[in-house]
Amino acid sequence: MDFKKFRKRSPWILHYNTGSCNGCDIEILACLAPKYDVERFGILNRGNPKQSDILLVTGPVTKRAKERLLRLYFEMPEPKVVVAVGACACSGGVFRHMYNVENGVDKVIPVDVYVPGCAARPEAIIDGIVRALEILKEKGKEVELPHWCSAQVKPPVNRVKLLDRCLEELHGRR
Amino acid sequence: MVVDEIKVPLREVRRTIKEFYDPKEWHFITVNGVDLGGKVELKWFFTKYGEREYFKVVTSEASYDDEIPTITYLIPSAWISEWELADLFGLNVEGAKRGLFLDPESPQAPLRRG
Amino acid sequence: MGKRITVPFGSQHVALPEPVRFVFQTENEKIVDVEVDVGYVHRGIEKACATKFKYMQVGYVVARVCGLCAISHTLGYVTALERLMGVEVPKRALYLRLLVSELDRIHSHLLAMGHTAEVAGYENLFMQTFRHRELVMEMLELLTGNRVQFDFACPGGVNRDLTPEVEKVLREKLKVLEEKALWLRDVYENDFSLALRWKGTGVVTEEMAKEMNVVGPPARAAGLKTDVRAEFDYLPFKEVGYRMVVLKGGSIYERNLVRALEVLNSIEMCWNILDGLPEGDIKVPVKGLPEGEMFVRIEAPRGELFYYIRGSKKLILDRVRIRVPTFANIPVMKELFVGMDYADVPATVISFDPCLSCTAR
Ligand code: SF4
Repeated sequence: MDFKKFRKRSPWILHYNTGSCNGCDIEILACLAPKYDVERFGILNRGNPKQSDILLVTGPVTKRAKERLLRLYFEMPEPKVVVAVGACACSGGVFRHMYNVENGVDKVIPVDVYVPGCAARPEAIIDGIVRALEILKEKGKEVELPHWCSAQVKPPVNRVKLLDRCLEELHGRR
Repeated sequence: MVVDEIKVPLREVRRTIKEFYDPKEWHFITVNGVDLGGKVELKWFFTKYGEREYFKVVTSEASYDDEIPTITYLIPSAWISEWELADLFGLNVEGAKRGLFLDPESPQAPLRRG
Repeated sequence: MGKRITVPFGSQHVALPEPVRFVFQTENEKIVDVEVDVGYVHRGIEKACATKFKYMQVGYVVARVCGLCAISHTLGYVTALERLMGVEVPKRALYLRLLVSELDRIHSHLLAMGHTAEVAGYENLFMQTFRHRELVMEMLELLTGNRVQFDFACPGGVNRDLTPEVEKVLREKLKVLEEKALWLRDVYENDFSLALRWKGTGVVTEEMAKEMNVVGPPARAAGLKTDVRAEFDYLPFKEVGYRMVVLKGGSIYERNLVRALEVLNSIEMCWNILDGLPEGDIKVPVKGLPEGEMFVRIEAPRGELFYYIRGSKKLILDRVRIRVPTFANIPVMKELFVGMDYADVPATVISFDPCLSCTAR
């Protein structure tokens, strides 16, 4: 069956905080609450990576959150879209070049949509999510890897092995 | 603002605090370190419930490899401040575990100067 | 006895908006041991404040410690700096700071209350609370220009004045908000099933609060009379009708009720501020270089916030130390969990309203 048509109508989101100041997190929450209400796009916020299509990441990615972020990313099924919410998720923002951060989400996992602002306004977040929905419609089932990872993806894909390989390289980069 | 500052050598710290600390009256705020280059100045901050703008500060100095006495026997909630001190200054605090905030790959003892 | 089972809770969890990780050792339903990891969001702000940013900029950096109580962090820093440099802040600026800090407290408390309701399975009430919270956000936006990170206070005063047009809208919204807040208090106080779920769960006794140095609403819910607004004169709280809310009991129910009552008190203060706003400048220039050390305590929405700064006649400060309320409340949480049912854990964690980005900085 062709799920493509339906996927766009009921995307579930997963939200992960990788060291943000909570400013963008509460704006994401405000989006889910009555005034802005992204649930009208069929979106539900479920904290389960295995059932989610859109990953909303806030924060500049701290050293300790890095590995968790990668794990979450690999647990999500394809197709998936990553939205970096807030100035600090896009580039590091105020936290750029502090000793414990990685300067942005795209240093760790591939990002599809960037939402700027400190804090990102709910309108901007909704816009980002709508863009993400369009990208989600286009995306296929291929596995995307972080740009720094040199592993080759050959079908049949073994996720566990891929994740191990990526983690190895991640720690090798130290 | 009234600040009552007591300067003591490091090994006297616990005794000094024990003398006045009573959980019913005193509120322990935190222990703070300031790097002075080669040594660290430590301050234990206390305040009294119900009093306006009053602080009691116990000050001491420690070199990088001195063992800092813990006060968790007197104030059980102090462990988290002490662990932080051990982590961010790389000090040797009695009974503290490393790794509250820092990861193996982050720079060690970031709040030291130089 | 049954075997011990290890249950991880966090860092990414359905019921948890914050990246904190607890590892529970359970025996049947009872928790026998707990470990906590708070370091997921450690960024190193204290170091950056003492190496990268000039003392006039630090206020905006520390606001990014936490988005929920952004004004409290800036206030803590600027108050310390002004006291250190002997700057006299104009009265109007103090009143405006007070207004924003109280509005900030309202929105933070409503957020916490909403979350507890959600964890109790009351999604409807969560949505209602958040809906009314939007009113506060609109007011903050009108007043400061941004919804969350408003950077309102600056060394020497505030960055934006209150115009008569804005004041008019604020009054209208405040009126609606007051009605809604009264209704919310009523629900949180009298709803039968909520009371059934929350009363007597996660109890912090007064002795425990004193021994573990608990701060903020959890302490006041336990009957401990501690509020920095009454103990430290950083803003003119006395003049605008501040009352300390203290309850007995110390369970989740009382913690939420304290929040609801404080919201009402804050709204009352906002009315008084708008009525008695003095005329005058909103900012004085700050000149010179900071020298010496200074520490202040501030009442953030979650409790006592402590700032320590130290300078030595340089543009960059030597040390900025931030002790946040959640940092002080983590030990009591850890203590509390031992002997508790696992089913009560999410509600208890949320009722402390932990702010991990504050804790780890
Ligand atoms: S972009 Fe700004 S408001 Fe958003 S998480 Fe980062 S620092 Fe906070």
